[in-house]
Amino acid sequence: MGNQTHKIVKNKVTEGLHDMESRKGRFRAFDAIRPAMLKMVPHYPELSNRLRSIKEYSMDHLNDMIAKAQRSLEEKGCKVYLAETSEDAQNYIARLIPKVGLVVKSKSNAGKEINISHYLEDRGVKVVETDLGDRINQLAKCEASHSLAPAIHIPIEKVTKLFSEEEGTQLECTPEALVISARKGLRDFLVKADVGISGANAIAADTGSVFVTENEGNIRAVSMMPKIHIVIAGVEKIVSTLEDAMQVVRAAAVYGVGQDIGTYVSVISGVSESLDPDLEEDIHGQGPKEVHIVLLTNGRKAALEAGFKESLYCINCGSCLNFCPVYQEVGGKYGYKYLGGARPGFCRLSWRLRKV
Amino acid sequence: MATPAMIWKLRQNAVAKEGVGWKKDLIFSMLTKPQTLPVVSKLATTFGKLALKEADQGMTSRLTFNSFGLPQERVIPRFSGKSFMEIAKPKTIAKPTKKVGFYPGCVVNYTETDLGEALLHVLGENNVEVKLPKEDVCCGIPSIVSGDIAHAKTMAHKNIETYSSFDIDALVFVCPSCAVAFKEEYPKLFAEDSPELQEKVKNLALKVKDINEFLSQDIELKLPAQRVPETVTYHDPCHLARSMGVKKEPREIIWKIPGVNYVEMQDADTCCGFGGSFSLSFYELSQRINQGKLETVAGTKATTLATSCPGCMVHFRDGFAQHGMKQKVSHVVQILSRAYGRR
Repeated sequence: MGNQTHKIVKNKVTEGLHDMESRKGRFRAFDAIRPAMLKMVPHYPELSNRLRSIKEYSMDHLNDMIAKAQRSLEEKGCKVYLAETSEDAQNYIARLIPKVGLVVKSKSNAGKEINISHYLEDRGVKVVETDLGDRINQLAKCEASHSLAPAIHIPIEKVTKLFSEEEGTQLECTPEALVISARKGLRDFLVKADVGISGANAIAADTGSVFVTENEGNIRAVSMMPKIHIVIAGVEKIVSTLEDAMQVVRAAAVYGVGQDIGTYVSVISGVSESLDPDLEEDIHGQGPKEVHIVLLTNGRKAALEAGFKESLYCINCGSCLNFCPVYQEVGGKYGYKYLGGARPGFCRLSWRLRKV
Repeated sequence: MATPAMIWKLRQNAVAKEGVGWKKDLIFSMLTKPQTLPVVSKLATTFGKLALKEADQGMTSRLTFNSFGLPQERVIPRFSGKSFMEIAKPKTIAKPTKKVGFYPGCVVNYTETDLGEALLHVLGENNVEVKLPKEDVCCGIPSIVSGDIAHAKTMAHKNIETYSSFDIDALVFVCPSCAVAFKEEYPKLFAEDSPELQEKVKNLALKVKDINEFLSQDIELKLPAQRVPETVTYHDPCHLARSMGVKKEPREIIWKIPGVNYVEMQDADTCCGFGGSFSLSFYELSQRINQGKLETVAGTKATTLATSCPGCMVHFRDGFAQHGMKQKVSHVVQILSRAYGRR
């Protein structure tokens, strides 16, 4: 690699190696996830093969998949925007948010890819992370130390201090007190927010459905409570059918954390409706009035053409990271925007191609 | 393209555009010439004493060369005065059951000649004739993983020409990284070349056998009689366990050795951290990965760590030395050779 890139990588590795707090946090996460995975995976011997053929088909027919998904989503009342670059996506999203607006957000790798939080904050928008770990990192101005347990490296005393400052009262230094405070604060933001931004685990092209999965429940709130819901997703999330999308979500649970299925799987197929009192027409229901799906290409098609389609089979479950000897020691600094070794492959490619 | 291939392709693209860096360029071009390493190792042994000093299991540098991955504490292998190829004398077998070629690889050839001797001894005891070429070059794996295809092809071509001319049943390896080079990477390197060359490469690839595979599958292994009173645990090298799928054969060989108390270690197949040139580019990281393994080895109370890759051996010796651990590190073939009465 070029001399400059080499220096950057070496510095990141050294930084990562010396961050012992994050390392302790990572190992606590491994101690929980690894045994669970080892127990759960043998129950699903065919799952990875099935998932692979689903992804293979999608990537081999990407243009069709995008067209079909767009049609289905639009038929269900969603607005679909195909963003060729980060800038396209950022601009489109920014236009949907009132100046000095309030945005509640759930975890999104694609969101990180286009740097949406910082972009919006630079424009005076308040962005609130609703995933508890991400919220802690946001208040601590820290980086995630693990993809699924991002704040596991932050000691409870620090969290108490952060939440106490946020709430304006001194809280007890116990998990219960802290979670109660977080829920109160986050619910308040959720009710007041103008826009909710989420990612997507999978998008079913036949029914125009967005799948999101979680254990906490904040993604449901983000996608339900504000009047506008924006989904940011790379085009590789699109799969052929509703059933295929379910396989993706099942695989993410089994391989990522050793669960048979996440606590919540939300399938969103359109815009909230309810029948009016005269039973004559559909009016807006209790959920969002507008659902926007921002589909990112951002170099993915070029990656496919260069022969890197396998990098788009990745569902970001984090299973590889649970056993990677490099990630175990280096942590979150391993990779560019997407953690790990495989993803940076396509990211660097797309990034370089855009620079060229 | 599977993930490793994608990463290598990106590196190849980067190297094609920006070159591989002057350090690697120099080293790889030296490795293409059969005379280079013998000359370097002679220089290293003669003048090495100036820059290096004896440590228990190897040597350490008197100065620090951090950018070459050589901090002062690092224990590096001792360069042998004469290369394995120069001193090796395979036994002449009257009625051999099999005839094999042996590709030693750089670590064995220049620093771990004992492992080469052990292999010759073991095959001799089993009535297997060994053919050695007069000289060979590096297998090319360091170039391949760096994306430097040009140098890799030069090395590969020389090796293919050398070994294709032998009439052998198998080409055996004690280093699984070299084995994977011949078996999987050479066919890919020449995938666009002439059909004759591709045929040669393919036929050679089919003959590649890791020594544990060969001893377990191709011959009736002579049972060793000499007791080896050690507590032994085994570490699975990445290329052997994952690329070649060889996990039970080395263990089965160890279990046949009388006097050995075998203890299976936890996470035996997790990476030792060496990674070849990776340990030079990212030494601290390779040490940190190794630390976990040192703990699991210590946990078995083994007196000898057995493994089947010279790279892992070099790395564990460095790790043990820096942590004051006294375990010995041996290749499975060296333990077997002892059980056949050598030394």
